[in-house]
Amino acid sequence: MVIVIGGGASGLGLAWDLLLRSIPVMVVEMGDIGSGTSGRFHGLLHSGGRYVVSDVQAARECWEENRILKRVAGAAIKATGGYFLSVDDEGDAYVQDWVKGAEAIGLPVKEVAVGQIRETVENLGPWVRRGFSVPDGVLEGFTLLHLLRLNIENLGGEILTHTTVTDIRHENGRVVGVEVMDKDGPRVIACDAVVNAAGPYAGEVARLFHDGIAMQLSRGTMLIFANRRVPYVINRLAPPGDGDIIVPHGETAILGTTDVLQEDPGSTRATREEAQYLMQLGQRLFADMDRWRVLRAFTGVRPLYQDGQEIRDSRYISRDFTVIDHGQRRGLVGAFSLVGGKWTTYRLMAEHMADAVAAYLKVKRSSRTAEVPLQTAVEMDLRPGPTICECERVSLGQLARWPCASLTEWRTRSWFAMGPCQGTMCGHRGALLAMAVQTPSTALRELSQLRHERERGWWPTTWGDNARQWALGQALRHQTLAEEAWSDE
Amino acid sequence: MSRASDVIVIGRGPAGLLVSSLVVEQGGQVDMIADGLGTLPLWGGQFDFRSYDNDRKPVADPWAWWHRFGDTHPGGSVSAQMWRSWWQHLRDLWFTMEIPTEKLLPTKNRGTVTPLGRIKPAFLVPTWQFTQEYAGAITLVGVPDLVDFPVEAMARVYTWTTGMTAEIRWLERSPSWRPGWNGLNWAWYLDTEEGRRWLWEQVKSFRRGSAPLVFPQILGVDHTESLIEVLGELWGRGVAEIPLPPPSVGGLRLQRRWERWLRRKGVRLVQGRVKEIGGDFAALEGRRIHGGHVVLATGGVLGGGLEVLIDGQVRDRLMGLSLGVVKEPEDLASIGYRSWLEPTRVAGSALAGCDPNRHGDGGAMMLLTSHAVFSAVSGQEGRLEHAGRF
Ligand SMILES: Cc1cc2nc3c(=O)[nH]c(=O)nc-3n(C[C@H](O)[C@H](O)[C@H](O)COP(=O)(O)OP(=O)(O)OC[C@H]3O[C@@H](n4cnc5c(N)ncnc54)[C@H](O)[C@@H]3O)c2cc1C
Ligand SMILES: Cc1cc2nc3c(=O)[nH]c(=O)nc-3n(C[C@H](O)[C@H](O)[C@H](O)COP(=O)(O)OP(=O)(O)OC[C@H]3O[C@@H](n4cnc5c(N)ncnc54)[C@H](O)[C@@H]3O)c2cc1C
Repeated sequence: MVIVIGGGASGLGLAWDLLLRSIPVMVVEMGDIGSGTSGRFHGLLHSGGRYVVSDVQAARECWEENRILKRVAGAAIKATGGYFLSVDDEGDAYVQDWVKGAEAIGLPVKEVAVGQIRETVENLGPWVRRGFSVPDGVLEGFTLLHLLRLNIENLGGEILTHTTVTDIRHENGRVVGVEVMDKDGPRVIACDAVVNAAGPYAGEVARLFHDGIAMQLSRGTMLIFANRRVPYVINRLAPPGDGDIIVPHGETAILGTTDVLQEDPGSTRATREEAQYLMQLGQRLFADMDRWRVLRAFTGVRPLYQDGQEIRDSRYISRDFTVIDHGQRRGLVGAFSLVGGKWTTYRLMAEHMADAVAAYLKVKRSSRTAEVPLQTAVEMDLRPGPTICECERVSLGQLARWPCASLTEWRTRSWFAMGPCQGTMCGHRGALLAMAVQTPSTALRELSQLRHERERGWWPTTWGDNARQWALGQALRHQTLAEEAWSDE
Repeated sequence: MSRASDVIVIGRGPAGLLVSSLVVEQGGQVDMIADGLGTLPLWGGQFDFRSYDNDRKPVADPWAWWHRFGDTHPGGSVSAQMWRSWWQHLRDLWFTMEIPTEKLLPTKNRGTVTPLGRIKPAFLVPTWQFTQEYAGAITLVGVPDLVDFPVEAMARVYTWTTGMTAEIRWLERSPSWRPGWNGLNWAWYLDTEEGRRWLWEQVKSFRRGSAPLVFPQILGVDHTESLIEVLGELWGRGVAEIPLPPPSVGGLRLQRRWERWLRRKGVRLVQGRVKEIGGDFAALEGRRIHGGHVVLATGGVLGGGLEVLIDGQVRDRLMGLSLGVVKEPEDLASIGYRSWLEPTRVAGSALAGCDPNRHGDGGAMMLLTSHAVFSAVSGQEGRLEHAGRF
């Protein structure tokens, strides 16, 4: 059996690939599914257009995978299309290089009159000069993760959440098991090989393999607006920079991102300053953005990898990925790492990694993930019941479909508490429903965690109506519900 | 009263209502202008004195708390007698508006239950709200599909925190019930003859119990007391309610009764957004209203009196003043005017330095600031000279 460390795009993608080759797998995830970078990204299914000048290899891979994913994971993808828009202050030279680059990888781009684009996108800044359509899309991260999970479990793969890999067991320099820790304490799970798909934590996990890898972590901050302000992806046609992409996502739109090197794999708190900075940048595409109803800010940490070079600007680290066989280096035999890459290329990354693992296990079957479509869940006919979350229209019946492993999981599956009120009106309802299977103290603790999680991204964007919403949320939590007050008197 | 016969009060939240009442009680003429309902319909209507200390532990005796620790707070220089007279006055005022509270002013905080099943302190509450001196057994009434009152879970939390039993009795769906009914829909229904009769039959059929019968706050909007009286006779024990999240029926009851009383006293209620004020006028879109004094009871960020800008600046839109910059989440609740007299008269939650979310002192702050402003406009500034600034 293979143990995969990490329940993000890379880890679940790999598990699925291995299972299709009939190799048994167990995924170990320390938080919930998607609690790493894969649940905190921009949501763009790249066409490759962003990288045709700076990173041709990554651009090619994106375009290839873009087409494959629309085929095998259609339920998690919205083929909205997108535009690259050039703004006054960019030179024509770059636009020409870009068009040439796109042609070189066979990416279908077409120039469209700006007037025509303005007809479908309101309030585009007056300084937008040229526009090119590209086959960008929207990748719904949590939907795809839960889809992968379902398919993995259908093939007998096991996924442990809230379980951390703390050490590796080895005999004669060869991996024989992992030590894990969950709420019941430590235990050992035997395995034949182990793969590090720990995203930003990959550097720390590699140390358990008696090897080191130099991760170049980069933090990106994004802003979510409460309305679907654009019907398709809008990119600024310029060398990749901060705050130059807007992606429509359900009823919202996401502006991003920033790109700042950082050491800490876990630090993901957005600041007011970052939110303000993004607003300034976004106004170059949409002059009236300061009047858009903002929802929250969030950050993700890019698990980029570039061995042996000193990096100053993370924008120049390749978006390509790397497969590392630690046994071939100085580390344990049977230990592998999968680092770098993008959500868009998770399948390709998994394929390469699985090739290496299969070879190690002497399994001759090759990858089938590009052909086998992911099965969606059979929709059950449930009485919808009363509405729990008005903003996202989540009913009791919908929630009841998933046994409540945790409030977070309910949230990321159903989207409850994710709308404009940020869970003000439904957070407590969710927690009390969860009490059907949880103790009061667990449910109240999870409610408090939910509030903190929401507030973390909410606070940096508390201005205008969003500040009023915040004030109502606080009054409700503390005055109406007395959520966190002492109650021992 | 020198010039209080002509006061313009902007805002119809609790602070605006109280300032207006104080003025008309002295025979003054008031114009109230507001662009929205204010916060009353958002909360259940319990008026807090001081519920938590600075470590967020519940306060049993708020009188003693103010006496001993109040000097860290804008209301700290208020004497116990002064507090007593203000609370007494509010109680009496409500009585004349037909908002019933207990006969005597509370000497201690009592415990009430939240829709989360948690216990929290309460000071002055209308009689319809459930309170108890010591946690005892209760019987909760479940209402089908009322997602804000999940009785099974509440009962578990209640028992877990207090060690006391919480039994459950379920109502059926009434013949008039519609999917999506919230507490307010139920309350309007139970104001009707059909609704009341239906509820009597339901309670008659309940298996008896020896504990008070605790409903979610749905027992009518305008005819609550008579309904509760009949239910009490049927059940044989106390019957009371727990306030729900918005739309909150308790606050709505208060506001309707309060405003009805004010209108009877000749107060004019003007709907609209004030764009500009001067020493003796308030300007709305297309017209000006004149008066001897202008009082801002426009609330904080939630009420619309204060606005937060993208860079974190907090501004009073009406006055065009910047009152500071928010850096930490706590700042948002506590930023505001530092004085209720300068540069203009301010009552209610636009005042700085108090945070009802953390301290449970919303009612007290409303009393303090409204009385202080009233003294000022009625020419009694001297009385609160030392308390006017903090
Ligand atoms: C701001 C930002 C925007 C982006 N936008 C896009 C985009 O628009 N399009 C795109 O294609 N890509 C985008 N990306 C890139 C993409 O999101 C990432 O490349 C991808 O999600 C990485 O997935 P992963 O599975 O490798 O890492 P993760 O999702 O971080 O998964 C690693 C998991 O391992 C777990 N873990 C770590 N250590 C342990 C341990 N010891 N035991 C158990 N579990 C452990 C973590 O909890 C985590 O869940 C973006 C990235 C960022 C940061
Ligand atoms: C959910 C919730 C629960 C609460 N629970 C409790 C509790 O348990 N106990 C307690 O004691 N207190 C409680 N409170 C009360 C709270 O803490 C405050 O004390 C109270 O809301 C402040 O009221 P206010 O009169 O100052 O302002 P608000 O009620 O906010 O009123 C502001 C008024 O000003 C008007 N306005 C603003 N600007 C303008 C303008 N330019 N032109 C015209 N009109 C304008 C608005 O329309 C509104 O009518 C609760 C509040 C909420 C929201």
